[in-house]
Amino acid sequence: MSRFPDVVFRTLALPVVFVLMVFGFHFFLRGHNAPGGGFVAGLIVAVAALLARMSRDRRLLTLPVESLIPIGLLLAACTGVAPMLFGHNFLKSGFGYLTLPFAGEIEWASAVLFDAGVFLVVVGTTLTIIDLLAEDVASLHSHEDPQTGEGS
Amino acid sequence: MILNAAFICLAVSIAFTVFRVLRGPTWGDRITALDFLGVNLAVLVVLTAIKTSFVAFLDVALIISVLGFLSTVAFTRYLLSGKVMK
Repeated sequence: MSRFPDVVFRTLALPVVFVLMVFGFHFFLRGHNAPGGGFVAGLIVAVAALLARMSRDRRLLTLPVESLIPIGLLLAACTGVAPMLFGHNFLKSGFGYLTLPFAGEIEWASAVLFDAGVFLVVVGTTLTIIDLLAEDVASLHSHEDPQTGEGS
Repeated sequence: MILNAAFICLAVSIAFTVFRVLRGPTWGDRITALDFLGVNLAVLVVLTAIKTSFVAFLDVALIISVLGFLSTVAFTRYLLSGKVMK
């Protein structure tokens, strides 16, 4: 794999990864009142993780990416069930305003936890799909014997 | 008025680029033309953002350009060494 030393790509990938991470976070926080949200933020962060993995040998996440899917589903389900404990409907979202130092008055909504669950599910699903596709292509190439030229 | 002229220029450019993607004798030509098609799409989205004065289109342009870069890298790596990941 080191026959083509892609210096430009390796140098450029890390700043692009950081910019994408910041944009994903921005999309995630903006999502309740403007275009964005957990799904798009998950896709952007998955693209950033893919870029980091293509430019380096090691992965961005050390834990197996499949485990993000049940964690996200559990978080979203808990967020949906939690209002029922207080006598509201399923998935009832609470919101309010609080004043922070430096940031001023911001609006918070409990739907951001549901969005976090969606985010984790999207990241886990996308990275799992790409992992499986990459393994498939790699095994396809490893089955071909360069000496005899016979593929499987 | 100048916006419509820019749209017309962009349409001509996209038409030539699509022709190059479909025709391109080698895969290198096709990959380069696809990269340029992504740039054209980003410019199209920016022009749409100016025309409709809807700021959220600019984020779309950023994501399209990043995805174009990523796909060009992936295609090129697959073309050169057969494997996208390390």
